[in-house]
Amino acid sequence: MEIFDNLLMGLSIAITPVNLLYLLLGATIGMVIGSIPGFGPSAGIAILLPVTFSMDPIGAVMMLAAIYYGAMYGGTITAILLNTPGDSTTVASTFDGFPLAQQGRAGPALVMQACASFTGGTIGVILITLLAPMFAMVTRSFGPPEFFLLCLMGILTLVALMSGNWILGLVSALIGFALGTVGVDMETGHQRFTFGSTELIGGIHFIPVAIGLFGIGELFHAFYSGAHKSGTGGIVQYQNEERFWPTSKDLRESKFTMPRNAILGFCIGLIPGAGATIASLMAYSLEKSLSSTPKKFGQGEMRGLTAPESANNAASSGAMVPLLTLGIPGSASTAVLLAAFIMWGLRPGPLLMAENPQFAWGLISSMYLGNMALLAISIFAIPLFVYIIKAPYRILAPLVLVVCVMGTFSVNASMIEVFIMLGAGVIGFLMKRFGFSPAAVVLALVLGPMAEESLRQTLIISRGSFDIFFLRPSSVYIMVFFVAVIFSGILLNAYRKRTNIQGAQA
Amino acid sequence: MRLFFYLFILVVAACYTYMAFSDLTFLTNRGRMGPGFFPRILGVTMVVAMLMAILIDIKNKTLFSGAQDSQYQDAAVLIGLSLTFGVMLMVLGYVIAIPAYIGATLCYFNRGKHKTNAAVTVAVPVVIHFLFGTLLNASLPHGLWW
Repeated sequence: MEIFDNLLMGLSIAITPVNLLYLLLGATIGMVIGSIPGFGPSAGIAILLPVTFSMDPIGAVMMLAAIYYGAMYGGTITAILLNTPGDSTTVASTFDGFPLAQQGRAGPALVMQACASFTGGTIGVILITLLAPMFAMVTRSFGPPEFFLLCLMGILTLVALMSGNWILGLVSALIGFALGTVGVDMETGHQRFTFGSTELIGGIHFIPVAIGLFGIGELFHAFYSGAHKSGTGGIVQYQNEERFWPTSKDLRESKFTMPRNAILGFCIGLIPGAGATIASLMAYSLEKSLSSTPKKFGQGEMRGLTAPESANNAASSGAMVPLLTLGIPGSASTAVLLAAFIMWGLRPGPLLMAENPQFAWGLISSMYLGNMALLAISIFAIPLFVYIIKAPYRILAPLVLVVCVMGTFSVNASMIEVFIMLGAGVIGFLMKRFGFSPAAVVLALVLGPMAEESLRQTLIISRGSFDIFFLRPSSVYIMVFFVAVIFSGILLNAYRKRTNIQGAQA
Repeated sequence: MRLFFYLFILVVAACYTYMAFSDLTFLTNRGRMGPGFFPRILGVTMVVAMLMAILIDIKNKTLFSGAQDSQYQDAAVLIGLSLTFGVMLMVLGYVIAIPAYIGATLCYFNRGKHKTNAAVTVAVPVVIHFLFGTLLNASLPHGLWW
């Protein structure tokens, strides 16, 4: 019953005219950003983070969270209409989404993806409501050794589950960790890699690096791949729609698909580093293996669209649990959200729900409202998003760059940070071009200082002995879980390679 | 291009490792983790991982393959304009730098659409000033001459 009391308290905080306005604004902006190819939730939150400075903290965080899950909804629109995933999380949605649009069923596909995203998002929030307090209770017993292992687990899971070259993923993570070491060492007061610059004494700030890698890097990469040359008007598959609404057959077929994959997605989202991309690909594979007609998958099967959609939205909710209860981001998007929380003076962790229940429950309650708003927006504003997708990239690009630059400058009024952001943009472009992982850099930049601090505390407690990791039951459980995740990641990559080879041979 | 980028990261990693070994101590006088504990481990791992990546690419013959230089042209122009925008912003301030950057970018990439380019070039600085300067009351770069 306490959960419902807390939820009601959260709703009373979330339902104010100003907060609802922020929520709707965030959801709409998130959808718009998500529908621009290449811009995912991480870029959306990073670019708009500075815009929230003058707002009330709860309203601002509600808005940023709405941008996060709004972008998850929006990313699928381009996957269906353009066969271009807005973000890696919607890659699986192109498998059947685009064939549906080619068959003249873009309308039903967009409505069904909205329903699947709503189901996934809402089941995810219900599970957060039920599980987050329990997680918080369990994690209160966690000490520095467990935090160190969780930080390590987050980043290594991301590297192990990378579909490309894992060595380049590891190098990306190490670059992020290395950037995190710049500045004054907290224990000794020794300056590290500052080159005498007073601006670097406080370390490399996370926001310019995140905006550069995700926002500007994507922009440069889009110009490299030629996205600016042709307008998308001729490619967008949204014309001559026979009917807009899905048939009863579509709904009937997907009635178990959506909740089943929402639960799967949420569980995967809970694992730091696993994330929505893995969840959506696993959901697609699961649904295909459960289907009596697996050959229809890839040729315009509605379940092939609703399964990954419900899973990736539930995974984004699942990723909020380690963020809120441990203060450990499980993905690049939640890492940017963590930066926002810290900027507002809120320290997520085991005590957040006890010490700051208004914020925690206000945010969770707002996610119920946000999902409802997004369902309505994503169905009734489809023509608007089709229009946005058709906007030429060559006009959008300089506008986005100006907003990124002004946003970065407005954080600390520092031109050095603007140049760090532009430099990170160039590096982000080259990283993406050559198979490195900008997400791993950002996640490691956030987790690196946390890992170093918790390892230092651990070794002080244990008087320099690493045996402490094997003597504490919680640490042992985390390590066993960690090994299991890494092992399943290796198996998953082997399975992917095998299916790719088989697909190529077929 | 891939080779140059790999070498760039390798050189940066090597410099980072050198500094971690030469300037930072591994342990403090009390025997605790020193400022160089993490950087030394990171640096050595980074250099080894990067060498492995290069060797694997040499083995797979992918190190020298890649896009044609012409594919980089538009991205290189945008990068050049963006970096110039950063310098102009620092020296001349946003009032001059934003319209100059937007105008130059649109002139190059959106040739022939003079009316659209002019409208966007005028509208964006006004919207930015209203959004950041008035609505959000945020700092704006005024340049060195302000």
